[in-house]
Amino acid sequence: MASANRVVNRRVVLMGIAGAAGTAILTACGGSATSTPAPAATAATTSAAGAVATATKAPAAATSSTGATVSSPAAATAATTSPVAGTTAASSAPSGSAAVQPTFGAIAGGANIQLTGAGSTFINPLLTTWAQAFNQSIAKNITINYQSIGSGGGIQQITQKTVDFGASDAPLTDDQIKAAPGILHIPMVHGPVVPTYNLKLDVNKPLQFSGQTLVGIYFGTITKWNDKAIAADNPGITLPSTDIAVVYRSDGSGTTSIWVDFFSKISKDWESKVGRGTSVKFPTGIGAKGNEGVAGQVKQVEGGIGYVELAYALENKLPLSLVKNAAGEFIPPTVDSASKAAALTSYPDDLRFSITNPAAEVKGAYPITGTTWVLPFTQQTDKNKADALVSFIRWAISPAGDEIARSKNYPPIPAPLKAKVLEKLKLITVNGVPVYK
Amino acid sequence: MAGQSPRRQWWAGRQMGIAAIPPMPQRRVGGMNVRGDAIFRSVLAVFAAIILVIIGLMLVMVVTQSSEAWRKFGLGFITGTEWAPPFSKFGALPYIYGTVITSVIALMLAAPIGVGCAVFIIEFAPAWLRSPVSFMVELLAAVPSVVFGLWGIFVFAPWMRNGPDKFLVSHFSFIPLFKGPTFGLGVLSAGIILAIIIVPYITSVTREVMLLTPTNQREGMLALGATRWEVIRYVILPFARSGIVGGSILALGRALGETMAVTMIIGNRAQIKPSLFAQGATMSSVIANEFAEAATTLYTSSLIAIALLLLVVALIMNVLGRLLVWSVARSR
Amino acid sequence: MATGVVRQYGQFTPKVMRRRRTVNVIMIGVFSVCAIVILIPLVHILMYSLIKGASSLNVHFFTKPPQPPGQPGGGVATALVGSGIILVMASLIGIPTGILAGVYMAEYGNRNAFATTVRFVADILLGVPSIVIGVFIWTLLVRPFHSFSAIAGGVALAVMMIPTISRTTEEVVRLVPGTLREASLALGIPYWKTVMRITVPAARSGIGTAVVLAFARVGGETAPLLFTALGNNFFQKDIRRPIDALPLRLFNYAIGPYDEWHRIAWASAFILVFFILILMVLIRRIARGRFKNVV
Repeated sequence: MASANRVVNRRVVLMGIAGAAGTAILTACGGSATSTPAPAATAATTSAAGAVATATKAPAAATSSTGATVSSPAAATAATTSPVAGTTAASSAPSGSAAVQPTFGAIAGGANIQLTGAGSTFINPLLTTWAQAFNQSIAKNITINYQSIGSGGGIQQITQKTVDFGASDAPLTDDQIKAAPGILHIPMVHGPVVPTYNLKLDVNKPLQFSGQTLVGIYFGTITKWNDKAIAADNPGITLPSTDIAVVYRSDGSGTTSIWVDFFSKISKDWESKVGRGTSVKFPTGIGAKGNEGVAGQVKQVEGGIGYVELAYALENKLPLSLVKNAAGEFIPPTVDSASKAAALTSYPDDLRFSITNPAAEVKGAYPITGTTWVLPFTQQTDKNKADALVSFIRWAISPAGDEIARSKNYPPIPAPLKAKVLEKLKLITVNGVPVYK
Repeated sequence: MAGQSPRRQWWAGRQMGIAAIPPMPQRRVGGMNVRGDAIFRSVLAVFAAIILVIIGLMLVMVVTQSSEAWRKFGLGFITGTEWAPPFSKFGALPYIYGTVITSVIALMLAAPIGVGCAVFIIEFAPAWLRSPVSFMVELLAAVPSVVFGLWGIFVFAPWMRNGPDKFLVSHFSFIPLFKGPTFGLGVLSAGIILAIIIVPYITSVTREVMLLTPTNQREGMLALGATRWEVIRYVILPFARSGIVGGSILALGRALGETMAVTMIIGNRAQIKPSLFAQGATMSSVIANEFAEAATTLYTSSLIAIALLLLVVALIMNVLGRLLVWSVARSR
Repeated sequence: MATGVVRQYGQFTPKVMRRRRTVNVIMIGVFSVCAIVILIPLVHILMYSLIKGASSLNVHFFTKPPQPPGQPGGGVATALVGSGIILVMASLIGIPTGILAGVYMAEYGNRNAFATTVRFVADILLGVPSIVIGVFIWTLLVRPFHSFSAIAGGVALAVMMIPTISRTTEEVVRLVPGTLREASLALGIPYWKTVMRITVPAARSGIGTAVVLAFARVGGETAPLLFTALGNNFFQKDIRRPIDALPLRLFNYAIGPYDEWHRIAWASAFILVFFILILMVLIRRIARGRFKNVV
């Protein structure tokens, strides 16, 4: 379009500048050849000055914000929990570098360490709260930058080593492990996946679903809210004839993996036609990005139904549907009911396990419960980062971390699993030397 | 040209005013200035070359990094309808379809209205209105697409669902195009948002091209007693025709590559359905959604292959559009 | 073309005249409706984001880093700083390159196959979808170095700035009157010095416009940053690491569920639209009609 303008009348010429330019000619005439300042260079210098200003401002702002704001859960944890008794003292040390915890091993002093993690949106509310509390109460020099891009993304990023750790609610498949030799599965926390919806009902209690009904909705065979299958699950509730807007995860998602793992366990049809995995081809619905996106979409679209981690439903005041378990009970998703589902007696060596749809003998267990794994490599290159990562994981599964997890409505992992995790952490080495013994 | 000093070349090439310029007095003084000029020219040329390097490198990188997908699927990549990362099956047709259908909707809506608005600004708007309206249009051409997306999610999609969509579904659902259900998120909404995004662009290109209409032709028409509309119909539109087409093609190129607003409103589902209310996905939205999480090299490579398709289509659109706009500028 | 008129309105009977006048009035109506139809959504977007955004602003928005999801009181301080850093880097690369390439095309660009190619390619580069530029920079600067980075984000935006700046610079430098150059050359000033001291300064307001225009173009770009800058919840000084940016924040918050996020997203939209508004006004002020037709 600019080219069309070249033909614009040449008379659109800068009459005003002629005088100024005349002076410039004289200057240029007298000045030596070397002293010619290119305007472009001047522009660049000015921008450079701007860059310096910005760069110096940033750390100041960073310091003030981390120094000033202590969120309440973090402060409470630091003050009350016994195994991190040293915490309070450490965090009040002015430099913040002396955050050496006898219980947690040495954290590299002084140097600012930033760990980058990416993956699961399922654990995002908790992991970022953990990271903030860890930064404020344990090690001021360690910041953990977590990007919730979905579990599929987390696996991809750690495999390509673009991040320091991945996080996923789906264990890696054998093929994926082959692509990422030496990757560890560190279970961090459990969590229920909740079917949630956006529907105006005249009763003030959440709907309940049997697994088969959910499968029907996600297959697209149940398309109206007043379908008899839904009505059968919810006697006494008048349902509107609104169209069901199925919302699913368009990105590779551990939440999806938990959700379809449950479906596959209860429906042969689903298992053979759709199957398991972090990104399956849903027969119907609207795709949304992340737990955030699904919750957002359900909130926006009337008649919407989606599946999100408990914390997302709670914090957005979305209804928490009850789901029928193998024992035939309709169970509300809570920290307790999910913990019941997570109480396994034994674990496989590589800590890849599924806890959806527990057997009928387990009473009161919420059937769509999953686990989030943090995925680091055993062979680390940077001692400081490896130290920081191990300390963070150990702190997160300590009672202090559990407290925060519960406050964010995530059931912590059970004690036997914690022991296994600590064993696993011993495999992390820098140049062949274990970071944590 | 060889043997001539750079300055000579320059003068020979210049088409400005003076026919013959006497040689510069300093021309032979130690060759200092000649060398200075040569250096200067080379430095500038290097910076100009950066632009070539960028596009060259872009093609090379995108082609080489997508080669795995092309080797594996060949042309089946373009015609394949299944996009199933877990099974390493990648067919881009649903995305191509989504891109084409949304862009076509956008262009069908935006082109007539955009041209109409340009005519209004040039011919009918009262003088006091002309400047604010064109400023507004320019401003909106610069509003980031993510802002359109935000507006789309919270204002436009709910309005579509309860307004136009509802109307169409209840009266025209016998036509497959308007088969429900509708949630406000889908191909039609995305197409309309795209139309809103490209309309300022069409308007400003068209306006500029129309401004090039020779004044004497317009005035001649008016002197013959033609009405304003007849002047537009028989002078301005024929003159600017190829420019308008070119501008529309450029806008189409923009619509094809537009990412954020579409991603936020199209529903992100790879499928080919006749209904305009169905969810869809475009080539750019799938890249935006899945690129950061592509778990295998084949997956990444397939997404880059989509980027390559997008690049090639955008290049073709741009070359075509620009040639047409140029032809108007030259014809004057 | 006039034959059509003659055929249609060959006889200027009162009836024909009346019909022509009616058609004229109808068409004026149609064109006015076109303008109104366009302006309604556009004005709505503008007003809505400005009004809703302004009412969502507070002090925390500017001073606080983002909070974990669901916790109130977060802001976009990290994103503002991050966007600043990315834009500065993009400018450091894009502005000099764009201007010098533009000057080259204006000064040496006639009957020069190389310059013609560059000009053509720059025009094409303008039309490359921004998401493709993001993919390109990812293959170039993210994959080989195993890290998303502020640099990658900056380079991606620079790639978008260069063609805008160079093409506009070329246009405005061409508008500098030849007599100025000739006056300078007549005084024995070398050509290169004439360009740098006379031609370019004479066109500086136009070049300024070019730069501002490029800024306006990339300031709100999201797609190229998605997998280059990636995002960050903390302040980041190291430009080799991922960094936050306002458009990214806006995107992520817009598709999220939290009311707090939506508020911040609208406030971010306000900042972006306001930024663009300021730049556009600035362009008008700088150009003040001289280069009006160029930009």
